[in-house]
Amino acid sequence: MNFSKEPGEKIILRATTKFSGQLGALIFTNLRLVWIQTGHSEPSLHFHLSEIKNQFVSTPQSNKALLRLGVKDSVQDKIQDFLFEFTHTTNARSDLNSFRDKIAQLANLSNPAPAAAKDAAATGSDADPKSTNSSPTLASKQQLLKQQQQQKLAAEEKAKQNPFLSSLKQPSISETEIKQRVTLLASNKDLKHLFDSLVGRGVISESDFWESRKVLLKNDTVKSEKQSTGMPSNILSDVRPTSEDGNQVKYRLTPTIIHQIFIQYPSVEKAYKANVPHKISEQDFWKKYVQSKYFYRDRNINAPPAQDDLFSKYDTDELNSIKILKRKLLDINPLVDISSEGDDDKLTSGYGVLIDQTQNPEKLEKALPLLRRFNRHSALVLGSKDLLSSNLTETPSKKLKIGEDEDEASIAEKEKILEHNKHLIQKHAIIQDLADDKTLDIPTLKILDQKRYFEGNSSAILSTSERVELREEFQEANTLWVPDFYSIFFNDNNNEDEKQQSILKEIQSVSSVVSNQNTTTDEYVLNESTFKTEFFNKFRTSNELLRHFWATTFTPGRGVPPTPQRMEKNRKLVEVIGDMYDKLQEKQNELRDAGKKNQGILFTSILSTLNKAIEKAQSISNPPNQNTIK
Amino acid sequence: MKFYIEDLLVYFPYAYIYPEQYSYMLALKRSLDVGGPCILEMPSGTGKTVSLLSLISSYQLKNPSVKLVYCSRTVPEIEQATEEARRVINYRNSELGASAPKTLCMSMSSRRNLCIHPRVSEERESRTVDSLCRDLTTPWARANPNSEKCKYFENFEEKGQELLLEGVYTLEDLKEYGYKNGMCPYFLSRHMINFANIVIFSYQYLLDPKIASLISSSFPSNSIVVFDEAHNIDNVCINSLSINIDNRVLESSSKNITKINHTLENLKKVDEQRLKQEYLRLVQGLARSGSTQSEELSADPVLPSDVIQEAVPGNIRKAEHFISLMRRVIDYLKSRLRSQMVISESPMAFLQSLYHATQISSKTLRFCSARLSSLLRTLKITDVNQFSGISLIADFATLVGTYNSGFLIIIEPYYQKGANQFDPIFQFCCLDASIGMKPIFEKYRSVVITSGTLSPLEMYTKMLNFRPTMIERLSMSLNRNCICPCILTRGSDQISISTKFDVRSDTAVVRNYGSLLVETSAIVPDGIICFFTSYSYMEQIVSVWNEMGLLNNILTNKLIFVETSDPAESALALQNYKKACDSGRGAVLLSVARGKVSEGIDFDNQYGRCVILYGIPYINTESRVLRARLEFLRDKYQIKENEFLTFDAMRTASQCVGRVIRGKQDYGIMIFADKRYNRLDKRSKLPQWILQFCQPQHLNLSTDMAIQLSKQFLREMGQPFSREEQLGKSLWSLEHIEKQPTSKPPTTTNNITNNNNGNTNNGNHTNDAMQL
Repeated sequence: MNFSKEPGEKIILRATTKFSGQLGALIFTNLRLVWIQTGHSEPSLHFHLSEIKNQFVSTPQSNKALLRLGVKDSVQDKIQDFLFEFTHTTNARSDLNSFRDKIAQLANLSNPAPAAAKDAAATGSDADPKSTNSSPTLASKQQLLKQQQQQKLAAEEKAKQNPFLSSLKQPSISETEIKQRVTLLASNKDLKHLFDSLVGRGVISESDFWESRKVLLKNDTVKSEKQSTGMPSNILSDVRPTSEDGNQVKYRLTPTIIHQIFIQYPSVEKAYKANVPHKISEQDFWKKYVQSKYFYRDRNINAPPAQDDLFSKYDTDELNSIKILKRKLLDINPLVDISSEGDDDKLTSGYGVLIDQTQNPEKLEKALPLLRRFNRHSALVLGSKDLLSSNLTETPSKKLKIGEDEDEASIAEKEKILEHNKHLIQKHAIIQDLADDKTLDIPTLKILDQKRYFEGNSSAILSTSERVELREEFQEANTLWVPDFYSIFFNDNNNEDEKQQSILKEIQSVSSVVSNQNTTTDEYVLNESTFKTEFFNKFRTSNELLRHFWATTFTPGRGVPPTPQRMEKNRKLVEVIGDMYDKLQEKQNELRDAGKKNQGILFTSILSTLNKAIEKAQSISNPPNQNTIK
Repeated sequence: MKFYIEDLLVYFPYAYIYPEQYSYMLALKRSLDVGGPCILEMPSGTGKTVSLLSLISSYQLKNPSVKLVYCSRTVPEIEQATEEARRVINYRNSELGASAPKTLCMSMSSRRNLCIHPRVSEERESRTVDSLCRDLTTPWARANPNSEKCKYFENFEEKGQELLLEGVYTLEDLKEYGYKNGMCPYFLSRHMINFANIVIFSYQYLLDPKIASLISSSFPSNSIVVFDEAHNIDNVCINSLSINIDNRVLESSSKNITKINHTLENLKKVDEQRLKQEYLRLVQGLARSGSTQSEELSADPVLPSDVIQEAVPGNIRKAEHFISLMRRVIDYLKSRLRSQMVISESPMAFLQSLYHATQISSKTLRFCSARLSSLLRTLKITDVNQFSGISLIADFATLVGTYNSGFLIIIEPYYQKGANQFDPIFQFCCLDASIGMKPIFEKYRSVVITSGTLSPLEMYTKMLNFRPTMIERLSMSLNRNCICPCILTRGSDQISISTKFDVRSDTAVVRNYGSLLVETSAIVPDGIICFFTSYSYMEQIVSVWNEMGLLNNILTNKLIFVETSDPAESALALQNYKKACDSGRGAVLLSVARGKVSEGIDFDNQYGRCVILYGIPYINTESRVLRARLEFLRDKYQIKENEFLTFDAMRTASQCVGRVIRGKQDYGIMIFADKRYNRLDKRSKLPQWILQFCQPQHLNLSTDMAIQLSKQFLREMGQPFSREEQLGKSLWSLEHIEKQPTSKPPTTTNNITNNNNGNTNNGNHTNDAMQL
């Protein structure tokens, strides 16, 4: 295909695909990924490999070979999703696989592993596997039945997949979010005004408006309602059968549960990653899991079952990794560090008597996986350090051989830990009951009226007359002030160079003249007036418009081509900006005619920023001649 | 604040004081005046350490030559005590201003906790750290120009000896100092404790002769020795003088011998001179003479007064001869371990049969430990860890050659519980705790034994065989009942609960125990700590609870953490437990009554609002060592077996529950879940300050009653509690103290009478002590 290539660009892969309902060819070159609609010569989609942040492929069971790419939009700085369907009648799947491999190889995917795992979990959850676990004496007839069931489930999965993906793209806002927005608007007058003037008039959409104000929503005024919920304390992964009839036991695994199982038992996650979907299907995997789960739970009572257990080999890894932990805990609160006694058990070292055998901690070995599970779970819920996942014991000294600098760094780090530990002990050593309490309640900074913070004195604090007084006082001090360089530079005026003195005097006179020219005019004081409110409103509105404009603007032929919605939005914004410009221009002229020259000047900067946007818009609609660029 | 106790001006770093702290200081002060040992019990969490340190540091102002040696059990406790010492000394010196004396307060711990060498300090096990450190610091290792050196140690060797320090050094401070000045904190602190006014370290440095003679032997005898948290001191003494040997040890020591033989052969070829030098040294003097700090890892395992001060006898002066003697001892031990019967015999009988079999006399045996250490030094062996087997045998030989009464040898063929598996063990056990304490009592002028849980005090005076000049047992003064003890005897279904051996596995008992925890976790805020009687019981009960699904019910209320056999893992669990309590999720900690958590970890305020003690933590009476000890205590000190067992169980129990109270604003529920606690003979063994809250309505409860009681208690405790309410009753300010008859500032006229008063009071108290 003859699309315009960049220098040194070579086509590596090509496949027929569908993108947003249109047929076309997906081409993978050594530089970028290009999609060309059938019948067109130039690409409608193209992104550089470095922009591809993640990729997901559909499971082999699904009928369609789908590739979803997360592409980082360089303009908006967020990830956009593109879904391609490979449509080759016979080789769709292999096309997909080769694309997947190539992208994985060349693009710098951000943490591909967790992303893939999450996706796996997600698709798994979509399936909502009602794995049927039957007694070992299972009739073959039942097996057949189950397979049929599974096929049905697979079909359902496929049906569900699309809504799932689309819902990711356009997350519907929750009720609480709406509430937050309403409260925020009610509390912030300026924002309300802006909202009314832009969204209310349909200039920009509501979601766009809020998109850039996420931080405000997280603000403490609304925080109580938006508190992020942590993990539940319960061990959800401990699934119990929901119904039992006849020979069938049913388990219900929701995405949350699967997620928890993975966190809870890293061995299961490992097994999942290693086996699904290449070796066994998702369904079978969970079936195996619930079967082995019995074994897991009752481990200390029953003997282990057959060797072909899927998890046992991953499981041993887990236990070993704890045994390997031979390093000292470094970053630990010294008040709880019971390991500081050293591990040399009195008995193993040969000294001392161990009077009671039941006290021997070695006896605990059997129940250890169970007990450890609780520690692990609780640590995870708290989001804190845990033996398996932590790098608590890792010290930078491993890199020691590299050089002395590393050594210094590690010492600095250790000193920091020491400092922290000291602080902990110090805090603990004080008996609060006996201490003289001098607790100060320092109020936290909370700005309700932002105007007051950014625009100075407000009527709430000073009356108008007070303000005038204050200003006059200041002005007086300001005008009368004469820099006395002489006394600053030379403390003793005995032996003095004449020249220096004269120079200083000259500077002094000049600077005092400058300051004296600062005469008082009303113009510099922006009084609380209709003009001021109007001016600020205009300023904010145009800022908001410009922000949205620049977010949606694009340069043809560069970056990700804009979506039709985006172009439409941009076009609409240009219109509004144009209106705004005219209005402001008119206003300025009006002011100038009324002799308020200085007030008029204030608008100039706004006008010029708006003008920039208009120029940009014009350059898009009337692209400069290609030849000239060439 | 400053106030007088009799004639002593005490600097106390707080604006308020608990009345019991005042009485404690008074008792301590009187005891210091008289000298001799004293035993003081003070409720946990009422600021024992700070009172002790303020009084003694003020006492040191008057008697500047007196050194304080403060011993505690665990590293966290050492850190805390040192930090409190900092407060005390800072306050005292700021009050004194320019006239403040230069004071050095030094804490000390093992190499493991102090090492800052980048590679060595990463190691987790003490023995490995010791061994690696020796690799870098022994004279012969350093003599080799190509060997890796520890720059911190080198720097210490160069400058450390002349260093003069001042101030308070916690372990953290020491390490920081080490980093800043490039100096080894371990050797620095080991060197500095000889000059420090206050030394804070663990019991071992004073009680374990192997270490003590290296570390603390040069302390002056007018020092004040304090054993804080001393309720387990008898066990520390016993452990430091006991040895057990199994087949593994014998195997490794045989290997050690072969290895030593090899090295010896090589050395003969290369540098025979060195062996000759050793021989000459042994002819001339003692085996250990001429060794330095960094060379010695441990000294003789026997008490300093029992170390034989003679030249090594001729028959083991030559290395080969000594090695062959050791081999014979090992072979003999091997033959004894083959026994299929349980044997217990006195050391005397053992020596006799050893003599018959091998012709080795007890006197020769006494030299073994010193002789081996000399040999290892001559062979320039640094990896002592590898030679721990043979060292153990040599230590045993020295011990068995030295001690006779108060010790017993027990050989058990089926030791490791695995009923029929032949796994013999040879135990040389010390039965008499007083042996280890005797030299301390003899050497130091004042020995203070103190803890929150020393009841009944007489038991300690008997076991440790000393006559205290002062006995004080303080109760808690309170104006609200901040402790709610619940003696739980039955579950909600009225089935009685107990961890008695025959019923402990009953489903009903286990279920009732479980539902108790579920229900308490629903009503108690923040942290709950559960103590089980043993690891195996915890394991058993937790897996049954898991089966029942009870644990998930608890999880809806609180997170669960478990103490495991791995201390590092448990430490992390503890850290997370505290985090959970801080965050408001609340947590349940399952741990073991004699485990590491039950010692030295504070569960103050929100970290412990409730303790549940499942059963009475009796020691397993199956143990032969324990039985031997019981017999010994009965015969020698007239302590009845049952009495001792109950005492031991109750001190463990009160230690567990005492962890939750720190300060009077703090409050906690203590649930004793066993019907046997209801019996007066058990209950009365609890410390006074717990018993004083044990009203009739706290006894013989069922689960639902206990929950009701706890709910009410928590509601009461939730009420605001101001300092004003406490003042005068459970909290004193300076004016309250000055009203005390014992705290009149000595004026010129009153001085004499006051002192007299003090003395007569003092006399009275000593009399009381005698009557007790």
